[in-house]
Amino acid sequence: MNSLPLIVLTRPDTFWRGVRADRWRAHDLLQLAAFTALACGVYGAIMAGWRSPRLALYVGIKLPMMVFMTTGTVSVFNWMAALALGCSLGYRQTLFLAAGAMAVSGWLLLALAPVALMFIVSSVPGSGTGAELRYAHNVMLLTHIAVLAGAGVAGNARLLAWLRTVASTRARARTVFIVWLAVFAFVGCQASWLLRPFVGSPFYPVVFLRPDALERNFYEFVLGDVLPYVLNGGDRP
Amino acid sequence: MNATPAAAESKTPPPPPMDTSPPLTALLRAPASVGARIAAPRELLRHGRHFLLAAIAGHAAFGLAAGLFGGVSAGLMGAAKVPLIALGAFLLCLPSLYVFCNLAGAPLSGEQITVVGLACLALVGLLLAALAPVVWLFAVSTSSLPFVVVLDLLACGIGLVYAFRLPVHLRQAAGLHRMGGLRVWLLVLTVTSLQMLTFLRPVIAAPVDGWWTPKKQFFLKHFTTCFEESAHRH
Repeated sequence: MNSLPLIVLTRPDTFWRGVRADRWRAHDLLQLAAFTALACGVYGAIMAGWRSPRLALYVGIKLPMMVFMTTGTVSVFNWMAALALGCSLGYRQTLFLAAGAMAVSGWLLLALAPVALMFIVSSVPGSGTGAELRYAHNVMLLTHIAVLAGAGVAGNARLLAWLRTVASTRARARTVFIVWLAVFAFVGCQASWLLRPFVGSPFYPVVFLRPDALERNFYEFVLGDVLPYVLNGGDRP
Repeated sequence: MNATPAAAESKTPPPPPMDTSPPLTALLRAPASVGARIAAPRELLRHGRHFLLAAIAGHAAFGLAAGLFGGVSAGLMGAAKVPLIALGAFLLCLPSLYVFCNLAGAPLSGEQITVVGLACLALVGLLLAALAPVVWLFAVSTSSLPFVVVLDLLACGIGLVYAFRLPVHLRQAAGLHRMGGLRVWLLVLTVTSLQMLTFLRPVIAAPVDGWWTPKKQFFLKHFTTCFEESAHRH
């Protein structure tokens, strides 16, 4: 049982000892990345499968892209933030920790893939009235956001246990963890905005990227569109 | 000052009592001993078989009793479908049980994980079988679908409450100290079972158009529809 993704799941202490001792090499990092890509790809394909096979293929590619884009973007900041907050981690170790957390999230997504598939097969109509399709889309969207967020948090929660062993105090470990999680969520939301659609609205054509992908950002959308809509009780201001 | 061996001994929880009773009796009377049996996997297959049969029989008895609300044909349909719902949801959720238990810090083998899951299913099945006479009494003496639906869900809820308590007993066994993942899994199993039930509907209503409904529906919508249609009729 030498597969690193399996070690991360079943023997996390072995993985962590390897990280601290700088035992893991580049091919080990690739193993973790390949597993994460596979797991996110499978879940992504299921997530978009209700809309069309083409979107399933697109999202099978885009979900791993989103994860890697987010992890890559925040990796240098994570390393420096950890150092500044009193966790003596090298950049390489920070990368392995992030990859380990992603692999844990990948395990969760892979484990929940059969359940997600059953929900798609049994609850989402392929055709119907506009209201039925909107309801199906919204239910799918909320369910997948909950699953992806849960998997992300669970993966990162594993980090907290590891950080506690290198930080000078438990409070510092918690601070580093919260900073990492917040930055990951902040960047992850924008990455998901850039790479949308994921679930696939039935009222828009199937595309790899929306033509207006680079026009606004996630937070402009939430503050400018979603929040006023909610505050006005569902009526457009 | 170091604690004396006697003091240290007094702090550790007492080991679960050795129980040689059949697996199902142990599940009800001394669930802690089930944990010990799973942790020392000598007769894992035999235990798993017992739990599986109990789960099927218990759910079938409950399905029969609940289905009699819609007549004899619905009763037979319920007896066939309720175990199918439970086992289908169990199989779909089995991979997540393995991952949740490992993440929680209980590195069990695939066989052990399966038996832990089957023990939960058997416990729910046994409680549902015990509640079947109550459900039957109401099923044959009322015509209110919402009432029967609520009663059936309540019975399932009681079974699940006992299953949620199982980790407390299991963690007394060596290697099963961290079974928090089992509770998260039970939540996933519950939601999956509700969707499976919607997929395999009708379960307790008379099968007017056959045993299967082709229309896809989300479980929340299905239950809302059940109550709305009944309200319109009255």
